[in-house]
Amino acid sequence: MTDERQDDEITGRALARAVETIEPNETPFERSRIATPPTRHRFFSFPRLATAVAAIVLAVAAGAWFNTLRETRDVPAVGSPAIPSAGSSPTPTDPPTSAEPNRDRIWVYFARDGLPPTGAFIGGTFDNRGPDARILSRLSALRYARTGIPPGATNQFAEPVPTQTGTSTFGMSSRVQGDLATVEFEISGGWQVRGSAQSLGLVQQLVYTITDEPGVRRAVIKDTGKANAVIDQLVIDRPLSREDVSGYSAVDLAARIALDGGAGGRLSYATSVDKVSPGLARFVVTAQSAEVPQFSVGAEKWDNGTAGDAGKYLLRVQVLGSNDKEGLETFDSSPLRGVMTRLNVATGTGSGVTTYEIRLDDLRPWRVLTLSNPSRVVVDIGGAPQAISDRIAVYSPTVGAAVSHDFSVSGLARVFEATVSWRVKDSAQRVVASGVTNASLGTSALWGAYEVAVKLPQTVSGNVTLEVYEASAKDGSEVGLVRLPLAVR
Amino acid sequence: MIDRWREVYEREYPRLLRALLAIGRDPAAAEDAAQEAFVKAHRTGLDNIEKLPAWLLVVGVREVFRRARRSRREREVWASLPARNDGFDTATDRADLLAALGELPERQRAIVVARYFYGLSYDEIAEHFDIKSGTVGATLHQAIERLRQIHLAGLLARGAMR
Repeated sequence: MTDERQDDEITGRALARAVETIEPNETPFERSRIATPPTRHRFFSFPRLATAVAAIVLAVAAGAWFNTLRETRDVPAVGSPAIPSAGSSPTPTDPPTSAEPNRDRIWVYFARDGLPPTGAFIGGTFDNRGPDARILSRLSALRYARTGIPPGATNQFAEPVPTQTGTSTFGMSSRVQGDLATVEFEISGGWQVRGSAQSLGLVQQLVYTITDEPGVRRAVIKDTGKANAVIDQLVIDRPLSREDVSGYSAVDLAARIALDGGAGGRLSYATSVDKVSPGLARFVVTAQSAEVPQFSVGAEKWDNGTAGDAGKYLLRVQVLGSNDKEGLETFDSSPLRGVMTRLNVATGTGSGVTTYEIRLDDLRPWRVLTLSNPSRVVVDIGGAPQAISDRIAVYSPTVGAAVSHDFSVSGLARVFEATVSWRVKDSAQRVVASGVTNASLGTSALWGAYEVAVKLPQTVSGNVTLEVYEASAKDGSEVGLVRLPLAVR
Repeated sequence: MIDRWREVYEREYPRLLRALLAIGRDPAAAEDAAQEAFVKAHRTGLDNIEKLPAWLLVVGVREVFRRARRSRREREVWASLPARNDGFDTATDRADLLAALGELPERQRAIVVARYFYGLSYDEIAEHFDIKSGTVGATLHQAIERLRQIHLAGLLARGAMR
């Protein structure tokens, strides 16, 4: 190969890698045009598909799925009486026209595949006459959201594209009692979701959006006139909190991480969301001291008062040192909604303690690590639920990512003697590569960072599973295992 | 039948979408074109298509250019590329390369992606994109050379701003 051709090849390969890292919003097969023909294509152009669908319906006709289907479709027809409700406001049944001026900014939640839902402001009409009216405004705005959907997210609650002639009804009622909101839905044509991913996404969107009302922590979702809601195969028959549906394992509210250190001097903080890894919020306090300052971190319930002061939980981060600025900084991001900075100057000493309240959408697993030069306290909140256990977090690659035969695995760990074990299995569950690596810190309240280069044999291709775990010092059993599907290209 | 399509879709769609995004730079148009390519393949029938990946790419590329709806959002895609440290090139590098690709003429963009991302041979490119096989190499070299120049210019511009 001539030098010139070799140069071209290098640039070409770099470009291919660049293309590979594009993260488009991929339409799953179920929602592709070949699986769900849109109305503008006449149905007879998909005869084979139609036959197959009919076959599936017949095959499960005797099973519970059919009952579920029928139940969800069995909503009152057009012109049925309004849903009976106590203390609720009727919602508009006509979608607002897109040209409507003076739209309010309304915070609602969208679904993400394999990740907790993410919030965003969209346009709509906000009825501020009480909790029920506000809940219905948010749901209504979500139903008709056409723009403002965050990249990588979907709206499983979206009004379906009208298929046939005839009108469709859509109604809701809400009743708030204490921290519980009960919302009844009347949707002719039923919930338009299929499969567990879509159903879960829809439930997440509804629960998060309903509980965005200050003081409300749990939501009951009902089909009109029924004691529960049946969303595809999912039966919703109890109150749900955000933590019930977020996908993370339960988090101990009493857990605390603290470090004895020196005084931090002047402090400043920075935040990011989804940058380090999808679904992950990072909060970093940088100190001017050489030594990592003394700090403590713990979670608390938080009931937001006003729209600009949102969240359901907060992480209280206290650091020895003084932040330049005080006050609330808000963010239009999930789960990070804002940071309130308070400064307590101890009398006579000249130094103080800075308290940062990290306002969060929900309570999800969080981790703390420290870095030197400059001294930093790093608080990581969440991440992809599948990639996180009580002692291992994988940040890269991401769940389902396409990787080459050489890739690096990085994340945080809190394991015995800092020894992180990993292996890659092929689709036949054969181990094709494995090893151990050291995290920067071993067993302690603080987490350590690790990074390992994985090299797969060239014969491996297609779907593989990356497993990262701690081999127990006691009996060699595997604990804290996380399992990430990957595709080798 | 559905299963076979699902398999094909899940294997080919992500790659096709990335390629069309890189070539057309408009997420909505890329999505549209990728879906349309599958609809066309579905109508044609799997058994009637030889070399499906290349077929989908060619049809998708045609769709992307036919629509050529240039969106204001296009820059955001590159800005939001994840920062993955693979020890060789940085996220900024990759974003720059993709931006530079967008500066090439449409046809060159498609051929570069077909060669280096899809790994098609010169002959396959000639056949599917309907150009003389003798000119594939020269066109590719020309495209890469320009890509490098644009990329370099971008690096210099950024360096000057620091």
